[in-house]
Amino acid sequence: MNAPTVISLSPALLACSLLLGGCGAITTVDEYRSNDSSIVIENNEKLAILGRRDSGHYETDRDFVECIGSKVSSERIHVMPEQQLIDAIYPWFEPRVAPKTLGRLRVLLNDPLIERRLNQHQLRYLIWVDGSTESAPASGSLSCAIGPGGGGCFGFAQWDKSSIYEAIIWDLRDRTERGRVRVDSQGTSYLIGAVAPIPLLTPVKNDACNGLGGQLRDYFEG
Amino acid sequence: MSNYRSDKVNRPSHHTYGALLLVFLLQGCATVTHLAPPSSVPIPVVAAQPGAAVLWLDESFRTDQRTPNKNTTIDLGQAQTAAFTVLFTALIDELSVVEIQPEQLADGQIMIRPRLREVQIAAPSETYLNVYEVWLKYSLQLYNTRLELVDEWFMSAYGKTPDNFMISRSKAMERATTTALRDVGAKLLIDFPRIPSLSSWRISHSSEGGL
Repeated sequence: MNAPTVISLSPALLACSLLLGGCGAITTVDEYRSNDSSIVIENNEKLAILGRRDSGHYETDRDFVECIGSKVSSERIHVMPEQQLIDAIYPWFEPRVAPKTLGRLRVLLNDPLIERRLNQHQLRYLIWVDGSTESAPASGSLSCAIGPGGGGCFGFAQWDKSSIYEAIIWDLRDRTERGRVRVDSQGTSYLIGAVAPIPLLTPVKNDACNGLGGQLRDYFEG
Repeated sequence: MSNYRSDKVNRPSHHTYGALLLVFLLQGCATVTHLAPPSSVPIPVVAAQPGAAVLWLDESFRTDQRTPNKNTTIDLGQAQTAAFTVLFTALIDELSVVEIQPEQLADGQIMIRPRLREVQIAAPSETYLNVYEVWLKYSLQLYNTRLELVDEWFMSAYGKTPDNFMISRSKAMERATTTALRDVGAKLLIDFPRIPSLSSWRISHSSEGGL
């Protein structure tokens, strides 16, 4: 009795898995380390992840920075919340004055007030994250209509999304750069109008967060 | 017959109902945003300038309300009063904050009067960028010990916040305004020790005093 049911469902399952498979993002993670040694972080030391916000047309998303923090954080790795650090060291990490280069960071750390404040928080590493998620204009045609007898959407639309982020790790004690990780995640999202609109969204940002967060955690866990 | 005529005159027609509905709908589209950003300028990590000063935050500054466009009103008074008090307290060793202009200053004191000169805003619907933006322009009027205006120092600040899905226009604009206030703070904290007309006050505060 059950066999015919299974056979009739198979094409639907196949179509569904194909559609969902099409929504997967392609994520590439590149890394550069200044040397082969793993990055050591003691139990009493912390790291902070900060988003760059000095660009004119985009801001590194706070949610994305939080997402990476949650991936990196563990029992051994203590992550200081971004806003807590920015407030603790105000105004030196505001977009207008935040150090963009190691040279500028060294100048900043030469100020005993700033160095003392960072030491109070036991901050050892600073990770700058810069990037954004962009959506390309949608292609295809989808129209929705409503009338006395009901309504619905018909058609098909698709759009590409890409998340490109780079993380740079600075060692505040040695005042050096310890490594860089770059993640590039791309995918296509679909909206199918079959009476009800069915969105099939590609989680490019989430994949970028998993890729970048996982790689950074490996850095610190050796 | 007369009753019928009277009914016809007094009862609103379907066109009237339609017109009223249209007016309500159109009014609903033109939202007016009223913002009162919280003051969120943290205590700065800066070395205080040696010297004595009076910070004059007058009535118009403390209750400042701006309308950068017909749909947006920003109550900046409370936030900017709190922000400038925190900033100057960290910047100057001996600071007195007053609401009314003092009649005279003590020897060696200067007076600083911040004024909000301009507010501009931009939303994604106007710029086609995916951010809300706020520009603030302040000036610092600097008075010498004899209460003579000696300089006016202008500072521009900028704040932006992403057009986050699921947050309202007012919330986004409020965050951008808060960011702009923090930027004013950063600009002030870096610029203040470099204002040329204050160099003599900085150098001579301990010996002669004043400008």
